[in-house]
Amino acid sequence: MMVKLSRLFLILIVIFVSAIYLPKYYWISFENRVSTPLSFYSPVLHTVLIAHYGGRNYYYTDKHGKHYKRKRVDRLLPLNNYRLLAATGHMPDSLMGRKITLEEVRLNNFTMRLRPKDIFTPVIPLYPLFESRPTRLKLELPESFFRINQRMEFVDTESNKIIEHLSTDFTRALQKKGFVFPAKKIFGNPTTRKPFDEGYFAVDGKNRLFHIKMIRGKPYCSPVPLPEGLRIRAIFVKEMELREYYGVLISEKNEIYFIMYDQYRLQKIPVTDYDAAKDQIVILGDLFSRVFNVISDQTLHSFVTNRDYKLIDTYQESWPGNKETLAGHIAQYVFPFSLKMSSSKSEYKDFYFSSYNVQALLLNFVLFLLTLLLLKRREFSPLKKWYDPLLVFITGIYGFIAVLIFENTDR
Amino acid sequence: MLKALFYKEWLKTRWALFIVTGVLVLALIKMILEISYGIRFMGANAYWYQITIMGSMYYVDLLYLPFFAGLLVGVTQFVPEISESRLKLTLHLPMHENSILMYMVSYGTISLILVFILTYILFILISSGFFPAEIVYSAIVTTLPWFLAGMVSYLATATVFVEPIWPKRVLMILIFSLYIANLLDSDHYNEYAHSLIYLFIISLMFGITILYAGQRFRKGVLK
Amino acid sequence: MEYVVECNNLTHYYGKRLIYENMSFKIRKGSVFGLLGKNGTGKTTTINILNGYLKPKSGQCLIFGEDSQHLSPRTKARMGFLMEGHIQYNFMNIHQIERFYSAFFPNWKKEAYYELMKKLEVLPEQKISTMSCGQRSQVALGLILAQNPDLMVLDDYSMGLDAGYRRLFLDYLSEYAKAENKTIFITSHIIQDLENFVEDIVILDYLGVLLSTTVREFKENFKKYVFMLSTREQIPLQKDEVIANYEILNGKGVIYSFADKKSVETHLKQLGIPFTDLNEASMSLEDAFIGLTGKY
Repeated sequence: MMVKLSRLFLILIVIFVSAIYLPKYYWISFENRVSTPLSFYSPVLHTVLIAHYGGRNYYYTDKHGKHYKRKRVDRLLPLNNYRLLAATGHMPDSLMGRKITLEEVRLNNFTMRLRPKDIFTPVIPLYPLFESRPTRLKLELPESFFRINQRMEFVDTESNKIIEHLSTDFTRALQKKGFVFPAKKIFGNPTTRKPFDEGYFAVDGKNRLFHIKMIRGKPYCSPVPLPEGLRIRAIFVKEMELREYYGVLISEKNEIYFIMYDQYRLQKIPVTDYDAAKDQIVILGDLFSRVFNVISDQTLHSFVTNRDYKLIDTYQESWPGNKETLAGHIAQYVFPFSLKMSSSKSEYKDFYFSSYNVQALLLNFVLFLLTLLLLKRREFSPLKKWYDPLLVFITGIYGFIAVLIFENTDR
Repeated sequence: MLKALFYKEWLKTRWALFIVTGVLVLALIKMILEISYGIRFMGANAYWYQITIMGSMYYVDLLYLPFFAGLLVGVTQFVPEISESRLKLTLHLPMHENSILMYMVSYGTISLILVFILTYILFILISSGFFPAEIVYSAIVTTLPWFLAGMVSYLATATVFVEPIWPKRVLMILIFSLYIANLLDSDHYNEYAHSLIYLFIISLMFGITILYAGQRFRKGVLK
Repeated sequence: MEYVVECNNLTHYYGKRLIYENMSFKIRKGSVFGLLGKNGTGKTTTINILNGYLKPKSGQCLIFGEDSQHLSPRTKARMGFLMEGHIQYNFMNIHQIERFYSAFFPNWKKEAYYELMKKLEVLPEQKISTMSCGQRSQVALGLILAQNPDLMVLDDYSMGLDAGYRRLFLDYLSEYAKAENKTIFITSHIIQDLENFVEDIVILDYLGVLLSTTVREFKENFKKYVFMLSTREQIPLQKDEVIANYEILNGKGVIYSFADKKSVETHLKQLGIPFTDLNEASMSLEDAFIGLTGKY
């Protein structure tokens, strides 16, 4: 009995390991790069232009599939290529019927990339709170890190002890604004490589949002009014000289908001079909528009808004994934399922099972017959050892390898 | 009888256990030196920043040590049994054969767990001296799969040695290594936080894999 | 008659190579049983089956009435086992190993072990691995004597031992065998030592059991006849129901047979062998063994 269980465990271990590594190395051998297109908005043509990368072919198309050479597009996307155009003297001095300056263009240009991996990632809930008005202008990494549990605490990094006065000050400031301890989530952009500091956004015990900063050593805390029922999944804080918004808020329902400097107003972004767990968003901002590229494994869905966040253009494109290649088709007939411990969508190691490929049942059945044959050749009664063929029928090639390696030994 | 059996296992493995403990303690001493050096040179705040934000692991030296510890204990415990088929003497002791094998791996598992617990106590004490609970907790969660890999490497080694046929041993080594590689694929702290409990359960299965090999050893297979 | 070991219809192959087919033997309680055969005839295989380390293709061994494939701890406690080559836990010293084994056997006779150890010129801390072959055999012997089992299974006790140690070994075993109802199962390829020791024997050949008998019967019934040949030419001699084995050298012929002198004479005449001076010759157990199994 125990020996049977021992063999069963060995078989399960083989299935577990081979379901990870066989498909993995299969795809390492056959997978081709699928490059993702990206939409830009041309203030010259008033339409989207789609960049297609991929090795030496770097070209653009418009919505109708018309090809544009890279060089020509430089002038169709002057805001994205202003440095190049300015250097060669090709930068227009007015666009969309108004005069523009290079300084203006620079100030308004930005890119943000929000990946599922950045949301689904473990954190150590200790954060450095920067001085927002540094006396020597440059941002400096503070000597203490804070946590927000039953109160807001600052831990001195040198001594690993709590700095009492700072902790009391900030706790009091938070309490005054109605913050309910402990904080559920804290979001910030803790780096010195930014023009200035806007501190942190913290979700309190009652799912309300607060903005916390340190200004000249003193606490600053302000509640951020949220629409009714909004639950926060993540906030990407990004300090930009433009000072239009503090960051991007993504709700549990996959809605996207900008937290505006204008009294913490939440500006809803007209993006649909976005799933924070699966899709990444690349936001391209410039003087006249915002392009929200929602990119999933096989589709690009782009939403273009004007500076008032009204939708002015959309674009959608799909492309075949690796599953549609010959290798992909073969894989579906060979592997009944596959397992991965890591994912491109999350920093967590977990059991990422693929869906079950019904097509593989064909091979499974052949292997099932082979297993019966092997049992017979070893003079076992297949009726008594029914579980081997059954396991092979379900787990296909993995189970077959397993019963081949760890054959039944009790005669 | 159990005491006597453990006594025999102890005679075989005591040096390995001392060496393993010694190496782990040395690794921890090296870790102390590196932390204090890092703090002196880049400043404590930058060092914390490296850990919490940049994701550097100050304990990364521990990654493979439990694995090798398990391997060494497994080898020292089972090589004397396998050389000249000495395991026949052991299985001839007046106890149930499967029980004997299970007691043998229990001995190794328990002694490794004791060494690992000792390591963890020291590790936590040292870490707590430099860092707050959040970092220490993350260090524990991050290193647990590594120590789990140590347990698995021990149990896998035992099974591989008891298995009588070389080609099968090679296949076992391949499969067990791939499984262990899964536990050591750490490039971010707390990565295994969600799957650790399941990996722990799967790894428990290695506890009785020796019985299959033991059965083959006893019933005789064509060499 | 009470039997301690009963093996019925043992058949075993290593892959396609047949070791033996339908081998059966029984060991009487209180007897000394010898399994004799040249190297590679399946002596250790039998011991492995007996101890449950090998499952035969078919057939079964009962030890104290228990299937050898599923020996209970109680039965194992009644069996002493000497591994081929006197293998023991060589990472222990003589005190550690005594301490280890004593915990397993209720009838442990510590004195029996230390009596033997006293005669060994070994240091108390010396590991068994650093001892000589003879010394190791004494440790292994001491341990099974201390265990005081009802059945002793000795796999080629003589391996690697010089004459002195072999004699010493058997002296102790004889002493042990004299005790009440102690059964010994011994295998060896050195026959001469066993002549006055074993009672029942099974002789194995490369194809299976050649003979199953007692030493007394074997020596009484198995005869060696020498004769002179009057021709130097090839003679049509071959093994048959009368001639168990034969040798021809320099005009001298030797025939081994279970038949009496008269039958052999008649048989040779029938075959038309030109022989003279047929005489029975005396032989030891070893001669008989070689006579039966051949020199190769």
